[in-house]
This record gives sequence, C-alpha cells and structure tokens, in this order.
Amino acid sequence: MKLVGIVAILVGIVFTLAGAYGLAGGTGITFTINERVVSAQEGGLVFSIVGVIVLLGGIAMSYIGFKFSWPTIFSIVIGLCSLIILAILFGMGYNLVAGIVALVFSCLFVATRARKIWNWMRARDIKLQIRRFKEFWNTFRRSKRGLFGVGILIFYIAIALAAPLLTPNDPIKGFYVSGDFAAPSWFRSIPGGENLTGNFQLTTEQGFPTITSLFQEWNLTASSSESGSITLRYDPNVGNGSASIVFRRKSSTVLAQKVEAHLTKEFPFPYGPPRRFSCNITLFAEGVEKVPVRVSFTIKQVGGNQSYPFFWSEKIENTTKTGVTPSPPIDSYDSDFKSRIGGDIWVDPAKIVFSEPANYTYDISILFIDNKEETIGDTFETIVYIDDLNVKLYGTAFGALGTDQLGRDIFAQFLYGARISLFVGLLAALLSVSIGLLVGIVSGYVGRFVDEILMRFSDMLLVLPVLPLLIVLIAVLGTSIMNLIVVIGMLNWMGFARVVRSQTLSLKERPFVEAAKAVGAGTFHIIARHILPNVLSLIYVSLALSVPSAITYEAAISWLGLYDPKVISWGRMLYDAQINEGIERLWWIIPPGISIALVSVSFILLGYALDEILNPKLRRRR
Amino acid sequence: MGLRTYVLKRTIYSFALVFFVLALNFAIFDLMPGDPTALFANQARLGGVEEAKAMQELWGLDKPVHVRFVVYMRNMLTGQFGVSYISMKPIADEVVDRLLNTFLLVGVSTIFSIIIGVVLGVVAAYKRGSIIDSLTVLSSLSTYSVPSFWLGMILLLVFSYRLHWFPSVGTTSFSAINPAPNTFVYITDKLWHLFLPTLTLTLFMYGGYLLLTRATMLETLTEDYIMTAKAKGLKQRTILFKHALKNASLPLITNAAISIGFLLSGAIITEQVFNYPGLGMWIWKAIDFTDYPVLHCIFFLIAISVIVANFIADLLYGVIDPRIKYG
Repeated sequence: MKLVGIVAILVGIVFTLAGAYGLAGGTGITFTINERVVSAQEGGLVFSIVGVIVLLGGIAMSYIGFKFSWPTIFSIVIGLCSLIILAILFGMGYNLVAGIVALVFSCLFVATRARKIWNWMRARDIKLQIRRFKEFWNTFRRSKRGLFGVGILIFYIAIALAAPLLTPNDPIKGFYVSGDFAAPSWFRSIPGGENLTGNFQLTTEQGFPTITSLFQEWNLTASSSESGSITLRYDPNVGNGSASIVFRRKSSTVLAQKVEAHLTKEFPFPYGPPRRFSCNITLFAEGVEKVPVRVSFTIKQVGGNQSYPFFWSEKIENTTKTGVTPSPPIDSYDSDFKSRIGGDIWVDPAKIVFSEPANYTYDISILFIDNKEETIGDTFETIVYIDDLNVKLYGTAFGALGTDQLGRDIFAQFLYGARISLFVGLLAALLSVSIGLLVGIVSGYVGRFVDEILMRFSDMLLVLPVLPLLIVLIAVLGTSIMNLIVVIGMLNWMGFARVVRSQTLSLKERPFVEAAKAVGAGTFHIIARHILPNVLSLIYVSLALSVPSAITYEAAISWLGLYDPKVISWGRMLYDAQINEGIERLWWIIPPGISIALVSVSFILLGYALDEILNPKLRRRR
Repeated sequence: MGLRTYVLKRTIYSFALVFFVLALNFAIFDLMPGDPTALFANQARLGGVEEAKAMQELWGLDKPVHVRFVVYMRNMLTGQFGVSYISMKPIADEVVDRLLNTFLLVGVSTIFSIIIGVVLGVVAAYKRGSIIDSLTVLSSLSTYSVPSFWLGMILLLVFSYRLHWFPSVGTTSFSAINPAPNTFVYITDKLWHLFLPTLTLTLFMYGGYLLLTRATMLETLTEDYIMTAKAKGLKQRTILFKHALKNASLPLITNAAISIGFLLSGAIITEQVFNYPGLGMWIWKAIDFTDYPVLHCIFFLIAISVIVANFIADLLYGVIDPRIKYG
C-alpha cells in the first residue's frame, strides 16, 4: 500500500514549494521581535524544512510499504495534528514557535517510525551506500577545481542561510538605518575619510526612560524667575518616562509676565556635517489655559555666536493629553524645514547647522506667558511634558558596505541577495532538468513521430533568442520571482533533452533492456528501473551546469529593472547603483558583481568535476 | 541524399521556423493576460476614455483577434511593421538606423571575439599544461561568467568616468555631425563611440570560442595526419593553422551560428549600459510604453537573424567538410 506514501510525497512537495515561496520573500506574514521585523523568509525556511521531512517520510513509506497498525496510525495522526497546529500558528504569525513545534513533531514522527526505517536501512545495506559515497568523495577530493567550487559554494550558502544572524537590518524595508549614500564605516580609518560621520543620537534611548538620564545629562536654567518658579520633574507615567517642566507663581497678587525655561544638553560632535538630521518630539501640556506657553528648539555651537532655532510652536492654550508633534516634521530633508533654516529648498540644513567639528548645545526652551489678569489669585501649576525626544543625526558612513539611495544597508542586501541568486539558480535548473529529462526519455524511448515532434519543437525553441524572449515574457506576465524561475526553466531544457535522448536511444538497445522486455516488463518499469538510473549521472552534471546561466539571466533581468519588488537580488543592487549614479561607489558595485561571477564559476567547476568522475566514458580531454 | 535535397529541406524547415516565430510573437503579446488595449488606454498621455477609444480604433485594437492577426501578418511579411504607438511614425522608417547600429556592434565584436578566441585557443592547445594554458583558460572562464552588464559598468567607470578616454553615451558626438559632416571625422567619431561596447561584448564572447577551439584542437592534434605533417618537417605554424585548425573549425562554425542569439542578447544588455541607440535600447523604451508593434518588429528581426545564421551555418558545413553526408 503505497498510496499513503505518495500522498505524503505530494504534501511534502507542496510544503517545500510553499516554503520556497516564502523564502523568496513571497507575500507572507511578518511580525516583530525586539523592533526587528522578521520577514516571511524565516517562516518559509521552516515550511520548507517541514516539507522536506514529510517528503522524505513519504518516500521512505512508499519504499517500505505501509500496513495498518497502531504505531503507524499514531504517527499519521501526529503528523496531521502537527500540520493543523502549524497552519494555525503561521496564521497567527508565530513563525518561530511554529518552527519549534514542527521540529518536535517531526522528531516524534521519526521516533514512531524509527524501527521501520531501521529495518529498511538494514535491508538496503546502508554500509554499502556509505562506502560508495566514500569512494566517490575520495575521487572527488583529488579534483582541485571541484573542491574550489564546493568551497565557494559552501561560503555563499552559509551567507544566504545566516543572513538574519549576520545583520539586524532589513534589506528592503530597513529605510534610513543611516544617511543615504553612506560610505562604508571602515572608510573613516583610512586617510581622506576623517570627515565621515557615524550615526549619532542625542539620547541613547528615545525620550527620558530613567530619572538619571534626565537629571545627569540635562541642565535647566530659567531666565527671569523673580515672580515665577520653574522646576524640573521626572514623570514616569507619561509616555515611557518624560521630563516635565513646571511653572508656579510665587506671589498670589503679581503676574510673572514672561518666564523662559531652557532645558539644555551639550554634546560633542567632532566630525564633518551629518547627511541628515531629524528630531522627533511629543509635547503634552497641562494648565495652559491660564498660562499659555510657546516651545522652541535651538541648536547652537558652544562658544560660537550662531544659533539655529528650528522649531517654534504656536501658542499652546489648551490642555492636551494626546500630545502635540511639530508640523512640518523637524527633518533636514523636509522642504518646509529647509526653507525655514536656509531660505530656500536647495540648501542642506545639516551642513549649515553642523558646519564644523565642535561641541553643540541642544536647547529646548519653553516660554510661559503669564499675563492674564483674570487668573490672579488662582492656585495652579502649568506643566509641559516633553516625551519621545529623539534627536538623530544620520551619518555619512555606515556598516561594512555603506547604504543605498534610501539609506538601506548594502551589506544586508548583499547577504540576502545570495539567497535569491542561489534560489533562482537552483530551482530554475531543477525545473529545466526535469523537463529535459522527461522530454528526452519520452522522445528517445517512444521514438518515431513523437520523437520527431518533440525534437523539432525543441529545435524551434533553441533558435529563439532567450534574453529578448525572457524580457518580453516577464514584462507581460509580471515581475515576480516565481514567474522568472518558471520562464527561465521553460526556456533552458533543450540541450539537456538532446543529451538524454541520445543516451536513451543507446540504452534502449542494450541487452538488459531486451531481457527486461523478454520477461514482460512494462514501459514504465523499464524506464524507471533501467533507463533512469543510467542517465542519473547526466542529471547531476547538467544540474550543476545549468545553474550559472539561470543566475546570470536573473541578474540581467533584475539589472534591467524587471526585478521582483518584494525581494532584493544582486542584479537589483546593481540596478539601484546604476540609476542612482552609484557606479563610482566601488563598494556598491564590486561585491554583487564578483559574487555573481564566483557563484557561476563554482557551479561550472563543480559540474566539470562531477562530469569527470561520473561520466568517465564521455570524458573529453580538457 | 544530395546537396540539392538537403538545401531544399533546410530552406523549408527555416521557413517553418519563421512562421512558428511569427505565431509565437503574436501570441505572446496579443493573447497573454494583460490586455494591450487596457494597458495602452491607461497611459496618462491619453486625455479621457473617449480619446482612448479613438486611439484603439485608430490602431485597430478594437477588432477581433483573427482580424488583428491578419493585419499583423501583413505588416510583418511586407516589412512595414506597422506604426509605433509612441512616436506615431512608421516603424519601417525608424528601424533601419537602430538595426544598423546593433549589427555594427554585433558584427565587429563577433569578428574580434572569434579572432582572439581562436588564436588564444590554438596557442593554449599547443602549449597544453603550461602556465599560458591555464592562464588563458582561467581568463576565459572568468570573463565568461562575469555578467556582461557588470563588465560594461566597470569598463565605463574606468575608461570613461575616471580616465575620460572614451565617451559614455551614444554613437556620435554632436560636434562630429553638426558643423560640416567631414567623413573622416565622422567615422573616427563613430569608432571612438563603438570601442567600449565592442570591448565589452568581445570580452563577454571570446571565452566560449577559446574553450571550444582548445578542446577540438586537442583532439585534432592527436590525429595521424598531424604526425605526418610533422614528419614532413612543415613549420609549426603551418601545421597548427593550416592542418589542425581547418579540421577543428567545424564545431566553431556551429557555435558561431548558435551564439548569434546569445550575442544579440549580450548586445541588448550592452546597449543598455552604454546608452547605445540600437535594438536593445529600443526594446526597452517599447516595453515601458507597451509599444506592441515595435516589440513585434524587434523580436521578429532578432529571431530572423538567428534563423538565417543557423541556415548559413548548415550550408557551410558541406563547404568546409566534404565528408559530411547530407541527411
């Protein structure tokens, strides 16, 4: 009873493909851990692992045979339960938990089948298999080129798998981790790069999370306080901890008129101007009906005479619990803000305000306007809460490879790009090899008019220019990575089909096929048991040799701008560099280009090495 | 089977291929999801729905499929190619310049890459196992696997942006055609613009020829007649290029014909890097504006050139190797 095994194989294939889709950045569920967006790719990884496990289980089952007994039913129930639970967990977005559950369940699954699998392995003489593999490895080890290829490949596979561990930044949605077009941060330590700046934040965390962070780092000064008193308090209940500046009248008969409080912090900034700066803040106010306030921010150079007030609020006269945020936003890229600082939108406020390496003072000033006669005699407090203070200076140097035109980490893009190249290359090669195998065997074994039709058709496809066809098809069908894989796979099988066909033609005439026919074996049996095992060695070689062209096509298509917007690939990085005049930034264009070449070369070398070992009869002098 | 039957058979087959390409070309654009009329009507430059409708009627997009197919076939087969949606001019007028530009680029780089590839391949085969051998093989393998657009970007960066030796855009400078078209100045200017794209394509292509020449040469060099030639005391160069290469060149011709398609693909990419106004740049503009008649035309022309190249290669077999039996 192999039905269950076959079903399991199908389920496994579906799972693997679904996982692969997620891995390629398909529309999946994203969620956040510690403010880091975990993409659908982790989920996809889990999915494909489960898929492969189920697939292997199915293959094992269909080989071993299947009998209804309690342990087997138990294992199937466990398997089904795990699938349902997994689906629910994925639906709720707990990818990591789902992964652990999947692992536990697959362990349980294997455990219930352990005895069967063990018996099967003994029957197959596992030792013989291992010895065969060892022999193969010993031959392979002598091929320097093959080892070199495998080494490069392992390196890139490691990069691709470990990308989330190697960088915390999202390659596509992680905008402005630093200033845009930042240079690599190691440029700062080589001559000529002294003026580059890193990221700088005025407060280590947003707002005033602790008492000490407020009172040790910030100073409060008040301008004229004969008739009004200003005190600084810490309020942990507003936001995630906020500074509150409290105004109180000293006398109950005299108005304090204008009292100005300054909350200042000095910070050293011994670098050149930053690329961009922004300042987020939220203000809450209480008791301002009686004493209205105005709030303004200023940055000035310590000892210098220039000061830049870059925000002054309207008069705040209503108590607000929801908070007031500056509008337009205080951001040196905002055009309103630019014109307020420099007069027109072509100036760069960051270069004006932070013109030279120096110590700067950040000044939040609050003006209490106590001039309403009717409020004399009332007892009240006017409080201004300052929350979510986040002054950020975006650097001009960042990470290992700098940032792109939207301030995204190029190093992260490079790491995640390895995934797409390998994924597209392998899957497209797998597809084209499968099609080629099918067409080749059918055409070679069945022969006659079927052969004629199939071969003429493949000749026709062989004549078509691949890249123009690819461009046109992707433009018409839509620029998704799956379309790309399918189209590349469909256009690349012809060469392999011919090789398989000629091999099948010669195998068909061999004595063992005749013998099988004589004892009454069917076509399917002969193909599966006699033809297929003998063309298997061709498959490995062809697989390795058709990966590079798929990788190059993907890169070319992405570079032309027909990239999948959901994923980043090396080709897309080069496209970004090209259209943003980034061609002079070597750190941007060298790593992806070299990597495309290296991965291609490694597959070519691997293919040649496999060819020499597996097909000694077909070996040509090289 | 005689030569005449063989030629006839190949001719009929090539014509069948042309019709297959024509049908496919129509099917891709007109039968695929993503209706061209809808895409076209959505273009912002058309004022309203009524204007869009008028345009559809003007281009015959409102007609049923079979009528459009007849019109399309007539356009393709008469070499008129219809009217471009973007420029509103007959494509036949616009295509000539671009086609010549692309053919110039492809032709020059094919010649160079074959010469370089064959010469280096022969040298590598002759000095088999030496450092020269491994260096040439390594260089061909690396330029072969480096993406051509990246190679172009690097060449552009070095020779155009940094050294300012060559221009980065176009086929002619404004100064060369504007005052008085001096033929000599014009030609040197064209060649000056052609240099970097050609270099890119040549570097991209020569590796394949090199590896192939080397492999077939290694096989040929072990043949008996080479031994005979050596025994007769012929010069090394005569043996290599007259005796061995002539016999080793058969696969080269097949490969050159097949790689025309490959080369045109490379040209599309290279033209994009250097803003070289050939078919490659045009295909791009046409895709951006869903200019289907232009896409039909470009795709048809590229496929036709590949088919013709294959046809010629088939015929050349017999001329170069009389042992070939036609069948």
